[in-house]
Amino acid sequence: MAASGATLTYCKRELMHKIWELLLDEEFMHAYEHGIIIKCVDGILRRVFPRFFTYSADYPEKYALTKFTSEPLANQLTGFFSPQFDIWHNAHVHDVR
Amino acid sequence: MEVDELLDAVEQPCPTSPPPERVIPSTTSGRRRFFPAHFQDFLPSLRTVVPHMPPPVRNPTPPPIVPSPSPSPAPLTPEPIIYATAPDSFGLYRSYTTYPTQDPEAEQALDDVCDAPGLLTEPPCYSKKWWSGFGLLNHATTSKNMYYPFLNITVFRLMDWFYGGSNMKSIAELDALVHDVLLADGFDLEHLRDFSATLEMKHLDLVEDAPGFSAGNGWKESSVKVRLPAERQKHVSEDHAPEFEVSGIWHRSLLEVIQTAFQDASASSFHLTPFRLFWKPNPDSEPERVITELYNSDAFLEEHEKLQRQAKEPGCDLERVVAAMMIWSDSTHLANFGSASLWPMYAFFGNESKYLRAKPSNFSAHHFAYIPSVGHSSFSTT
Repeated sequence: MAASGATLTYCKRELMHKIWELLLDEEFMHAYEHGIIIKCVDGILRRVFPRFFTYSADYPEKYALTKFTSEPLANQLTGFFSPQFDIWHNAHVHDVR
Repeated sequence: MEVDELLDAVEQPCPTSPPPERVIPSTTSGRRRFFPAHFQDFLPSLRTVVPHMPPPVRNPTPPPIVPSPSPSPAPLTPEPIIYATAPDSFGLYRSYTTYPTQDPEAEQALDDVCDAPGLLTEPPCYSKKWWSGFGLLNHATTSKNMYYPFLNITVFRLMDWFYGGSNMKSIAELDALVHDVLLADGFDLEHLRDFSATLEMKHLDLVEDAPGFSAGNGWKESSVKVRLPAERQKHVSEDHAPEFEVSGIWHRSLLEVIQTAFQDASASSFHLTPFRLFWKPNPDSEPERVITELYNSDAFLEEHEKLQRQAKEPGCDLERVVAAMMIWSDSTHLANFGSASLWPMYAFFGNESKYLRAKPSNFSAHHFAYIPSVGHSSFSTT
């Protein structure tokens, strides 16, 4: 039996979510909070903190990204992305497919 | 950009003077002639640079303590010190709350931000290669044989010539065959002794590990498990739903992406300190806020300030900066006909100007994951 479109969308969304779990591993989350020291191209050591500002994705994956469970990222999603960079949070509202 | 020019810009009072009028020799009768204004080419002038700003004040004077009668005293924050640049010829100026440790635009010229086939521009002083976006720093050394999957340089050049240009070879391409293949250094007839075009094409198809995805460059292959909902069937809980394993997910560490990007020569154009951009067309006008880039947006400023307020790492006095990641993921069709497609995830850095990011020859994108395509075949139940 072939899966319906809605089910496939669900699966793709789940897949996307799992891949983000792979990417936002423990090491990354540590760097998110404490930064990583990088010797920049001008020779100065700096503590660099990764932050996400925009996320542009195909339609089916969008919702997946509001499901992050980790605390700092979840905060960022709800606070930081709204209202100007409201891309992950409330993706359905701004969607203009 | 000339050093003198830069110094001029530093010393010039605001706003910078208009470009000198073009002088045309007078007519024989002695009448002065003027160059028509509409032929005057307007070129955006050099931005004002940071060095003329006052040096950072190490110990800001504490604000006068005002006794607050309200029951909920707001935490006293010292008045932020503002470092402003002089306006450029457009009347635009930058206003920093943190003294910038580098000025990425100081060395920038018009040529760095424009890109069109008809424009004669200087090549950038640093140039990235197409493979840098995949984390490949040592492309040539990734495989033992530089010409892999071809046996030698002659076969490689021949195949490169065949695939380059159009399918219908032109006179120019015949020229290229002679000069770039037959007359090139290292051409050897011996190399072509057992040459077979079909076999070479097969070699191309059989390349096992695409050089972009080798473990040496930080790429990992992973698989994840996805719970499958079955239509018209109920499970006790999500844990009871059947699992489907999706394998072949190639990805690399986001931290590595950041590290490579910040160490690359192109990072000299990264804005690490966000600022507010203002427009003040003449000295009397009220400054108007202008938002043109991520690094002069409120979102970046807020995040930067939050970071500065955050408790320092013990024993660490390094400057704290934001790596502003902008993520894209969209599946891309690779061919006009057929189903070849990729679903990449890639990042740009908002620290870099949109004009530089938008220049394809800059290779500013950093790829960090490839999602296997899953379709009806994968998720259909039997």
